[in-house]
Amino acid sequence: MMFTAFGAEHGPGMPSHRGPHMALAVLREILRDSIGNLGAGRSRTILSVIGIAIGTAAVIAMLEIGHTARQHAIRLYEAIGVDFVLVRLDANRAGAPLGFAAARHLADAGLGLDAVAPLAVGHGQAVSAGTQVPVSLVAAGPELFTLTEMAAATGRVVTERDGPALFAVVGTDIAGAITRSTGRPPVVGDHIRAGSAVMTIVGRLAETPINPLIGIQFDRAAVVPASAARRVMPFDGVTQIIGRLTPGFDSERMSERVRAYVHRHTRGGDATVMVSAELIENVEKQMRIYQILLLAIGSVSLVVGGIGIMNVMLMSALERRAEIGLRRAIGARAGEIRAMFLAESVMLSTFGSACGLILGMAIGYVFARLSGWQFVVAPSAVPLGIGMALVVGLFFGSYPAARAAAVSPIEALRAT
Amino acid sequence: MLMPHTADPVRERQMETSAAVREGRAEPGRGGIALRLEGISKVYGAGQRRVTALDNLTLSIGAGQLTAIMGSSGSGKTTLLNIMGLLDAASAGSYHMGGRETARLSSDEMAILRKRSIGFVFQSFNLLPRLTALDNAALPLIYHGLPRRRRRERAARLLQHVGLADHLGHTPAQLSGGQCQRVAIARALIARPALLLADEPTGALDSLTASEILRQFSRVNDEFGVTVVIITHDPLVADHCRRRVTVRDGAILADGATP
Ligand SMILES: Nc1ncnc2c1ncn2[C@@H]1O[C@H](COP(=O)(O)OP(=O)(O)OP(=O)(O)O)[C@@H](O)[C@H]1O
Ligand SMILES: [Mg+2]
Repeated sequence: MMFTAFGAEHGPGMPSHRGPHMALAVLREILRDSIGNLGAGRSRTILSVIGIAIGTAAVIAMLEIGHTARQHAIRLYEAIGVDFVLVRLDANRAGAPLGFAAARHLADAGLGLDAVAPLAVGHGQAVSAGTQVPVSLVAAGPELFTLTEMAAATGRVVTERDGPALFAVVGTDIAGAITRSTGRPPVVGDHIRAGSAVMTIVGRLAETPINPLIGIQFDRAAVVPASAARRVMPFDGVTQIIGRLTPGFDSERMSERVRAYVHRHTRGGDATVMVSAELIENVEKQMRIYQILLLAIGSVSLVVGGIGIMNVMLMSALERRAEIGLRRAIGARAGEIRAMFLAESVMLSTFGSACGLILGMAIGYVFARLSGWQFVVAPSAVPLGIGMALVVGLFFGSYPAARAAAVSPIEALRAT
Repeated sequence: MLMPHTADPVRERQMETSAAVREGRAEPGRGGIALRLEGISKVYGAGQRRVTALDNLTLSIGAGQLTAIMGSSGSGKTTLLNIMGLLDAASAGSYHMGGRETARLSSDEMAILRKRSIGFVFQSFNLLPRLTALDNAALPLIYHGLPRRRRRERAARLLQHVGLADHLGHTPAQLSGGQCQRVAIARALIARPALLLADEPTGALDSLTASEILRQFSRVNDEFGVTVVIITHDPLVADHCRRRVTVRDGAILADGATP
């Protein structure tokens, strides 16, 4: 009987031409073989993978949350611009209130402010047709609407010509509350009461996103003419001024001058001046601190997971001495044993990182949803996850791989 | 890293090696490889713990011979086989394999020679427990860069010829000792070696199974002329071999044709 299996193919029957091509083919087969070697999953392998997964999840979640938050902040500030200024007057019982006229003069005083809109803001309950909703009462001149680009969706906004008349333009949420209680949207001429003041509705504001600098929810506000301020507010004078920084003007200098101006006109009063550009910077600074913190947590978990992988691979190198000896006997070079072990540790860390990547993204998504933000995938998340897996796998796998490669074939074969 | 071949001394040496091996051994089925050991010594340890496992041993084995090596325990048989199989380097002496001196080969060059020219069979089979018979037999071809499908095709054919066609998917735990050893023989043959080395291949088997295994070795030797060296304690096993070498204290005690 002929041993046809042996002689069926002539020549060596395998890629016998040596060179880079051959070496690559061997490496490819070693890597594929390593995948199979991982099939023998044991509990400590799983534990080390969990370590890597947690580390990666922390880093990715950090990245996602930071990225989403920054995108959110940027989107908000894009809406208002970086030159938006808020001057909030501090409570000043001893001195005099700042009048609307004096506040308006800020724009002409050459202090670094271009347009200004003085506001008096109070809070109360609006009562209309039997419903009661919390409302921000805002007394403002027409500058408010030009400066913030707010407009009436129906009817009109209040103007200077209204004088001290109790006319009000209401926010969409207020209008919605009235609609729900009366069954019809409020129309021009309807009344709304806040405290003892009964106001006549002249219009409804278009939906307005919250301006993070002003901090007033205009959707839940009723805006009355500046001259009517003292009829609806329990106090006199302006509470805050919004404005725009003169292009090229130093915000610090503007801030000092505005405060001096307020000091002069209120007999000793003070104000807090904020510029949106500074706020954006602050948010970014906070985000950076936050990110560094989470990065530190993530790195620690990754190192712990990496040591876990190193441990698993060292144990594996010990347990598989006989296998290493056999592989050497059938022709594996030391470097090929090293490649096999490195591939296994990189696969472990990659598997852990992949789980961590998904987990981290999920955490970022949930965080964004809970914060009411739009979830954005950070462009660096996936490359970072892959990069971490490779670095951890290669770094913590290299020592066990070197140990495995250094096993002498005869010693290893004797081990059985 | 595509370098011109001539600019790479390591690669050049490897190519030389493989060329020599190609010349030294015929294709499987056309003959084996000749071995010549001259004045081989192997010393383990140093000082008080110094052991001379082989002592100035000289032995020639012709291409295509079937040789049994016998000797009491500790006489140096395994040490000799390890040196013949390029698993270990001698402390002194020269070893020509297929006309090529192996003394100054690097560890990688020895690995390449093992891969291309030598098959090993061990007493304890040394199969990987998590792999099937098919994948165990196919294992060496990984280091030849052969894709899995082709590895398995060849392993299947070889397993069929050692009578294991029905056991391709079994793991070693599901196979008997004799079946395991046949898988190991298939593994040793899969890269078409010119030299087959077996260290007590029947040591763990009953006599009936042992003679079965021995028939496999005889066949390989007969049909392809592969040079076969078998270490054994069993005189019945040695009877199958045309030549019988007896080792004692690291040297040849007797050498002759089987009576
Ligand atoms: N790695 C080693 N370190 C130290 N001494 C060794 C080593 N390997 C073998 N020896 C010694 O060399 C001598 C020969 O050992 P070897 O394994 O070659 O014997 P053997 O003929 O194969 O024996 P057995 O029939 O029991 O397998 C023994 O004395 C052994 O103790
Ligand atoms: Mg022995």
